[in-house]
Amino acid sequence: MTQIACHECDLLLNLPDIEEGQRAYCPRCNHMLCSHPHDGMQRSLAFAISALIFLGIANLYPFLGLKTHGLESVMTLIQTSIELYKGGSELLAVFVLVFIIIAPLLILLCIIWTIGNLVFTGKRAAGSYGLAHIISTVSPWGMAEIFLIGILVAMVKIASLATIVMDFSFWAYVGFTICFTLTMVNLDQHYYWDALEQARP
Amino acid sequence: MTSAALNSLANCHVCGKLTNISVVHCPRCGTRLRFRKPDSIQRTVALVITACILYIPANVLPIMYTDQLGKEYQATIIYGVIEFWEGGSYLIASVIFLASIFIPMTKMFTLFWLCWSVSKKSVTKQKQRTKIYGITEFIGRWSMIDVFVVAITVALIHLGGILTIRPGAAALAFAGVVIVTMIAARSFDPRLIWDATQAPRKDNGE
Repeated sequence: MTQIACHECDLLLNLPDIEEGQRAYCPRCNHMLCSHPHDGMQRSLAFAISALIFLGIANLYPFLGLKTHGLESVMTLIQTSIELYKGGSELLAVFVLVFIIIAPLLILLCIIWTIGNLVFTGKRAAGSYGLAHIISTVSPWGMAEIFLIGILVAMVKIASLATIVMDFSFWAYVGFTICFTLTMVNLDQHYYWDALEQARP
Repeated sequence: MTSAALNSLANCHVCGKLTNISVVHCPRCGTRLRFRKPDSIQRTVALVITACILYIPANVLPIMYTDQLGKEYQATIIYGVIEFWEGGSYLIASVIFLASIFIPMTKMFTLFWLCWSVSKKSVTKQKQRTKIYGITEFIGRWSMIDVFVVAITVALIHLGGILTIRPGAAALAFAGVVIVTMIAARSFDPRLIWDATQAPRKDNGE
């Protein structure tokens, strides 16, 4: 039993020790208080490492290609931002770069460093609390899944003009998005902070 | 049924640890403890007004320029929706309509309404209002779809003089609307919805 307050309605309550696979909801406002995924930390770490590898690959090869009337054009992932910059929307280019690469990358590095140290050395690495704070602050700005939907809409839009080729990096980015989502799903903030606190510094 | 604040306990807004307010700083992560997010209603209203103002250029100015064989065409957000609809892509038209028009407008209206209901200390439908707030906070980022569509289209279509697409000023204004409403949603404190049922606190945790 731990005394906690609901994040959404401030109800003071005693949180029972919930088992793996269970979730606790606030009895007053029905907000999810915490979940306890099976091996949440280990899974989160594993998916974070996979996501990082996929993101690296996504930046190395062509992303999407376009073919029409004998003309061809190929783009890389980073060009999504670069072409906006060249087109005169410098600030927008920075936002897009943050949403699709920098924010998710920062989150993954923080997760791998903090949880990696917990899992392999059993210790809380230096700066873990600060990095955990960064994860919760930055997470709404990682928009990989929204970017993928944006690509699908753009494809339908362009499909009438030309043939779209989904290149190697595109599939790597799809893999990255799936792994990134699973990293976040398996990371429960309540257990994560408790695990950091209970570990030796 | 009692709130933590009435028992002088505050949730750390960074790590969620429950601590007595007299401790001042969270013993776990060192964050300054507060009962509620500071100036929640004022900040939320100010940010939503900012978003409403940004929403005007986002809809009036072109979001994309198309240079085709020496001619320049412009398209606004609503024009994009109409074009997809008339072209028979009903699903895509609906997705863009939802993401670019319906969600941002509903979100701005909902946040105003939540702030208004809290400021008049309403005690009705607290559970529903908390739920609506949760949905508003969750769904807001999905509005960014149209900005990504512009980014991808611009990056992919640059075939010299035959066909080139350039970003318009509305794309930045619209990204601004989404970013500002996301910050507005985060600065609103849903616990204020429930405070109306309880006796006023002696100290606001500032």
